[in-house]
Amino acid sequence: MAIEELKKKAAKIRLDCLEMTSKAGYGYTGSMMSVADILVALYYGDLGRQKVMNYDPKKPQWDGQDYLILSKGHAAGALYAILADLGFFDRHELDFFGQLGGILTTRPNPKIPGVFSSGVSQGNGLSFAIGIALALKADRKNNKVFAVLGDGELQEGQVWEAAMAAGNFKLNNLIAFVDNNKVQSDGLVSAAMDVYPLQDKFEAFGWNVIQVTDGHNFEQILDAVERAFTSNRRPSVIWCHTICGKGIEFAEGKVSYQGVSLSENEMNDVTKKLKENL
Amino acid sequence: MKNNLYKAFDDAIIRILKKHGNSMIFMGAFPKVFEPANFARFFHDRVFNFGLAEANLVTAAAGSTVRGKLPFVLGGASFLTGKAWGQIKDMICYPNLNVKIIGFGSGLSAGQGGVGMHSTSDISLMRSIPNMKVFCPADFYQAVKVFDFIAEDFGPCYVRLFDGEFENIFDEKYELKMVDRIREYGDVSNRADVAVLSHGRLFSQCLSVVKEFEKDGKSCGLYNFPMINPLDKKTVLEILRKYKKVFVVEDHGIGGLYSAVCEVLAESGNEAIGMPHVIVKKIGIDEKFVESAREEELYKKYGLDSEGILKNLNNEI
Repeated sequence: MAIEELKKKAAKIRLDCLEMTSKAGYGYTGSMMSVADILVALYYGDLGRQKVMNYDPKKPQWDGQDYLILSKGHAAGALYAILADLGFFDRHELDFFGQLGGILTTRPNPKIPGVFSSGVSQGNGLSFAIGIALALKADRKNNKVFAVLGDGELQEGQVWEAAMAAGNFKLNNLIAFVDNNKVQSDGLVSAAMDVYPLQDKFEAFGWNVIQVTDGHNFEQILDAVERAFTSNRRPSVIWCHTICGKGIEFAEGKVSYQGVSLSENEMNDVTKKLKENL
Repeated sequence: MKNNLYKAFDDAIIRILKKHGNSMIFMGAFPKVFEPANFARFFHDRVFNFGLAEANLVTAAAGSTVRGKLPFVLGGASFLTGKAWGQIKDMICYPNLNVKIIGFGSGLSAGQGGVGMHSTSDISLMRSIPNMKVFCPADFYQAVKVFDFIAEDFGPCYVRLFDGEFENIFDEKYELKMVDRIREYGDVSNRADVAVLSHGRLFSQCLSVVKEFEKDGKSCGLYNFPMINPLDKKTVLEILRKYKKVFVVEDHGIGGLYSAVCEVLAESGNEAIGMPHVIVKKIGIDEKFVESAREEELYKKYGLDSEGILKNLNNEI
């Protein structure tokens, strides 16, 4: 998909997220907006002839597919919007996000086609991805595993157990993303518990660290993925600087919009603007 | 003949690794008792050591099931069930993944290792999670059958293994049951005096105690529970009706087999459905942290060796 198309797709995914969370009256809007472009690049992007991720919505158990684990589970809405758009399940399910009787739980539900891991608590996704990567190595397969982490999540000790193990096992089929939006539910990440420097930390554990200065720029994200694909005997982490609430003018970078859904007035305002980009 | 459960695991897992090409081993830091780990030598391409990182260990095992793997997780009982409890709940039991957790050094097996390694809450921690099955084999042959069973069965399992060498109780013809009725007396109209319910390491002690009684011409019911969750509630109710007093012997604190039996009794509504009066007592380790000392000394001090159990029961029979 061309860059212009990716931008349009991202606007559509953002719009879907906002509608879902607004209907549910619950959702991590800021977090979904910051990760949206990363997920769109992974699911729709391509590197020349090669697609970034291989998958088949008709065959969610396909042996040749790549795997994506959304470790920052609170942004599940963005993943659901993409999976619905690709036809993994019926779009109408999005109307019942986070509601009684719906299948789309607010954290990734592994019963949904295209979702592989339960994301009910933070800090587990990278370890889970390591399990898939090791299983692929045992099967002598070249499928890739992507794990998308939040920056606040890096405060969990388990992430660093996993970082150590991935380096130790030399899992070059594992590519982690850090959605570095600088915000967590109780404020700025650097104020709650500083997780930096990321570059040095991951490198010390044997990772190939690729920094993306604008995590909303598709050229930069795809370029980073291309470099990660050629990593030799090392797992890669693509550290993306993003903006919490990206795409919603009044919410960008604001802690107060990280973990809430938008009000009706705000929705009317945003919907108009996002629709212009479609 | 004496044997230990690690040998049982090694024997069974080699067979399982051969039979199930999708099986994998995720090892935590290992106790020295596992010296004869032949499986690790023969199947090194399917065995991964994760060191001292239980949370990462169990979650990675869960991840491998996405590729249709049958992962066995090995580690200290206390660390796996304690440190990685949240991961077992969220990443294994909630999505109901086919992960088998094998805990070593349960009860007071770790002896001088101290409180951190003593595992007297593991049954309670594991059986409180939906979808989890809990097994406590009592000897070599029973353990082998448990491993064979969980390899074929689908869903999360926890198997509680103990250190030390003990006399075999069963033989190779043994068939795995939810409850083994070793000695059985009484019926609803003519209730017998006492029954002993046990599992795991302490079962062999209970058996020798019952044999002592029999030398004196006394009788005592004896049941072994290799499977604690789900519990065979029907059999438990039957036992509660057949005996006037029921003793549960286990190297575990609150929430183990004793608690499970009491839950069945409470749910039965007692006399409302014609349940006769029955006393259920526990011989175990409740509400205390145990000191760091030799394994045998600890079991002796807390009345969990055959002498202690005999003394406890003697007053009742």
